[in-house]
Amino acid sequence: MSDRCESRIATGTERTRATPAIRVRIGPVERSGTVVDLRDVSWDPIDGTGPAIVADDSSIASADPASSAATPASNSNDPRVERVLDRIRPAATAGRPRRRSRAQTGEPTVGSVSRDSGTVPKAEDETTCVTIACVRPSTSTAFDRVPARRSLRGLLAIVARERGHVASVGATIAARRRRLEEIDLPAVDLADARRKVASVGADIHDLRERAATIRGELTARRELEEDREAVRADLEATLTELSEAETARIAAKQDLDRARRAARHDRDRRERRLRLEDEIANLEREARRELAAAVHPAFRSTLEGLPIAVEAGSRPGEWCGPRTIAEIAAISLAGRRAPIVVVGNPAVGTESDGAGGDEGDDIATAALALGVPIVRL
Amino acid sequence: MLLVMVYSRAARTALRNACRSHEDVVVRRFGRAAVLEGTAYGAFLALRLRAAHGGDVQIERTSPFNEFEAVDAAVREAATAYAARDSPATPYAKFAAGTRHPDPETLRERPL
Repeated sequence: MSDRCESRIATGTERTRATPAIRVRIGPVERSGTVVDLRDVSWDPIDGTGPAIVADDSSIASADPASSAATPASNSNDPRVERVLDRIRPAATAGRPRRRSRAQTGEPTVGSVSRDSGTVPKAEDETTCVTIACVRPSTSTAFDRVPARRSLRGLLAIVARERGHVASVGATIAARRRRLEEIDLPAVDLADARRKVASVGADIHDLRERAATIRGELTARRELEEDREAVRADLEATLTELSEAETARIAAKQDLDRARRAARHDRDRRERRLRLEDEIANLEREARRELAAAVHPAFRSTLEGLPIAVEAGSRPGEWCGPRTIAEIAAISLAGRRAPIVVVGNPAVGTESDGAGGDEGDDIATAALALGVPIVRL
Repeated sequence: MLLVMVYSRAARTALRNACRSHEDVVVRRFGRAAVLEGTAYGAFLALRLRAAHGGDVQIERTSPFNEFEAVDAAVREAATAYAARDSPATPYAKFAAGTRHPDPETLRERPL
């Protein structure tokens, strides 16, 4: 953010300053450059840790607010990606989620990833280090990786915010948020009241059956002319109990009715909250549209400056060409000098995006032209 | 049947998803509410939503309404007559005044 002005120059058609280089070390492998391709690097023994990696992955997935906000299913968290991101973004800015994941996986909090031999099945995996020397990011975490976990419009909106644009509906959104916070929601829980009614109802059913049985026995004894005193007393007692239970049921029903009436007011509040939330979501969409539109011209000229078959569409968030390149270009507009982690092998199954030639070359070209270093995974 | 109503965005999404994947149990779906079959399975679906979203899910049991059973003829006739009134701006209280139709207060006090 502090070097926004400089980066604006850098994102022009002519590159005015060098793309910062990166140096990556994964165990014995060491690579450096402005585009570091790690796709061919064997991650053993990091990959070979089996269950430990799976546990690590799931803890990151649940702890990372960005991944839970996006659709986690469509963005399977590759533990290698998380590890590399972990190295690029310093722990202090990444905050709580990563510290939690470390605590869960028993990793030390130093600048390298080491695995405790106790969690690793293989004996030789005492320590596997991943170290990355690079410019540390100061921009939004949304820019850390490509594919980004949002639409290009959403990405451009964040770019616009980084560049100091403010949405006209911002104040309205803030006001709505404050109103939302003011809504105090008492718990609507009638379960106890319902349970009470049901249990008293069941008691009454049982008591009625018992009374009927006793009456039957009483009749039988009368016909047999046997002693009926004890049975009669039993019936008396049962009927008393029954009448008490019926009184209790009336009381329980009244309690439930009262609770229901009270719950109606609480639900009115919940309804208000839902309306506000919907309103905020609509305003946020409007803000994203507006912000994306604000940087669209810059985005367009950035793409025009690239010697790659990619161009901006007529509307913000639209583009034509490889998505990876479009996203890298958008991110570069935010003045990012730290590496972007480009995940996946776009050469596979991306014929539809019209890349035509080797997109790997395009990524390297874009990195150089836009001044953003790239780590490929 | 069971009437399930929701009061939050998350619960609304969950209801929509539940209805989509269990169409056989859904009698009718509205934006923020759904009518489910009066079976244990319908109850299971509704309770599952409530377990996940607590007070944001309201479940009510509905029963069919038979106006020939639930109310007497005077109410039915009043409704028909009022629907067919000449001037649409006339409120019911004014419409019923001085006629054989029950006044609104009487109707309000009479439970079904």
